[in-house]
Amino acid sequence: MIYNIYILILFLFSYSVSFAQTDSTVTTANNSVSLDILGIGGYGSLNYERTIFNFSSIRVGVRAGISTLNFTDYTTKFNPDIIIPISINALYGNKHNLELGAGQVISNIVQASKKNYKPERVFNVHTNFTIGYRYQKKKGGFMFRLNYTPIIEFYSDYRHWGGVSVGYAF
Amino acid sequence: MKLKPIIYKTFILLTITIVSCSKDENFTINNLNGNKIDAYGHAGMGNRSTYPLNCYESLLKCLNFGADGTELDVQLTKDNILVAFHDIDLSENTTINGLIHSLTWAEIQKAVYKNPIYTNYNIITLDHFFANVENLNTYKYTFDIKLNSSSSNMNKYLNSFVNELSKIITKYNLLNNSYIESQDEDFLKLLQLKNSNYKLFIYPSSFDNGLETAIRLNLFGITISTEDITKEQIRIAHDNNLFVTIWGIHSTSANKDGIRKNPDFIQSDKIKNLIHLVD
Repeated sequence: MIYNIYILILFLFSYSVSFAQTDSTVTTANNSVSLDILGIGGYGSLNYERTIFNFSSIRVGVRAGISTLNFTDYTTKFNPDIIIPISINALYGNKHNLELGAGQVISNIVQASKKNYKPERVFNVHTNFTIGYRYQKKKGGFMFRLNYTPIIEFYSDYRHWGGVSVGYAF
Repeated sequence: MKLKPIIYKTFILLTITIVSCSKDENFTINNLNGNKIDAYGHAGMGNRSTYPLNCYESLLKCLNFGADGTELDVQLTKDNILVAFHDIDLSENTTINGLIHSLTWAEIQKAVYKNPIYTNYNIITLDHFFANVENLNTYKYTFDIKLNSSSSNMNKYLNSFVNELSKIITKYNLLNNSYIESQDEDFLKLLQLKNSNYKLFIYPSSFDNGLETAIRLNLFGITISTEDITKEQIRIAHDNNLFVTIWGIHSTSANKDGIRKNPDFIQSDKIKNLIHLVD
C-alpha cells in the first residue's frame, strides 16, 4: 500500500515538473501541487491549488486535495475512507508569504453500522482554518508551507492542528 | 534544480530498501503451543493503527487479516455491562469523562473516540462484539481485565465482574478459545472458583513474581512485556508447564525479536507483519 502511494506521489510530482518545464512563456505560476504532512487533510494529503486572483503582493487561490485513513475497510475489502480538504487561501508577499485560509473538509469514512454492524459510509463536513508561512516564488518552483490549521470537527469540536507542505508551483 | 537525478536516486534507494525488507527469516519454534506461536492483535490492530484500540472496526480487521485472535481490554460498567476499553478514564481518548465503572452503558454509548481525526468510532460491549463476529469460534480471545472500580465495595465489584465474564464465555461458547489475564490474584482466584477450566494468566510486575504466582495458583500462564522477559526465562516457564504471552511489540523488528524468544502467544501492534512471520 505504501509502495503504491509512493508511486502515485512520484508520478504526480514528475508530471508537474515536466509540465512546468515545457511552458517557458509562463512568468507567474498559477498552479501548484503539494504533499501535506498533517494539515487540513488529516494525517497527510495530496493537493492542487489554482490562483484565481493576483494583484501586486496579494494572491488568492483555491485549493483542493485528497486523503484517506484506510484503503481497506475492516472486512479487508478495498473500500477507502475519503477525505477531501477544500480551502480558499490568500498569500501576502513575494517569496516569503503570510498565508491565511479557510474552508471545508468533506469526510466519507467507513464504519460499522450501529444497526447491523456491517460496513457503512458516514458522510460529514468539517471547517478548517489556515494561518502560517509559505515559501513560494511568484514565478514558481519549490514551495514550502508551515501552518497552524485548527479544525472544527463535525462543526462542534475545536481541534488544534498543524501541518507542513512541500510542493512545486508552475 | 536538477530534479530527475534526485528522483531516480530516491527511487533506486527505496526499491533496495523495500526488497531488503522483504527477506524472510526462518524461525525454529519450540514452545508448549505445539511449536507454533499464535499471533494476536493488541486490542485489535494495535496502537499504531488508524483505528482506536478496542473499537469494533479494529478488532474485526485484526481477525479478518488472518490473526489467530485478538487481545481485548475489558471493563465493567456501573450497570454490570462488559465493554472493551483500554484507558482508566474515558476523557483520555473519548468525548466524555469518568471511569467506565462510574457510568451506565446508556451513558457510555454516547462516547466517541477523539482519534483519528474526522472519525467518530464508538465503544462496544463484549456482547455486541461477539454477537457480530462471523465464525466466532475459529478465533481465540484474550481478555485483559482492567479493574478500575469506582465502588468502595471491592468484593462486590470483583464478583460482579467474574459473573458477567462467565456469562459471556458461556453464552458464546468461548471456554476453549479464550484466555483471561489479570494483575489481581483475588480476581484470578474467584475465576478459578467459578470454573477451574478457565485458562488464566497472571500479568506480573516481573518475571520472578509471575513465575511464583503462576506456580502457586496453578495458572495456565504468564502474560508479560517482552522487555521484562528473556528467552531463557520463557524456557523456565515452559519447564514449569506455563504458557507465556508477550506484549509490548510495537515494530516489525520487535515481532522478530519476540518470535526468537519462543513464547506461545504474541500480542502485537504490528499484527499484519506478525501473521506473515509466523505463518
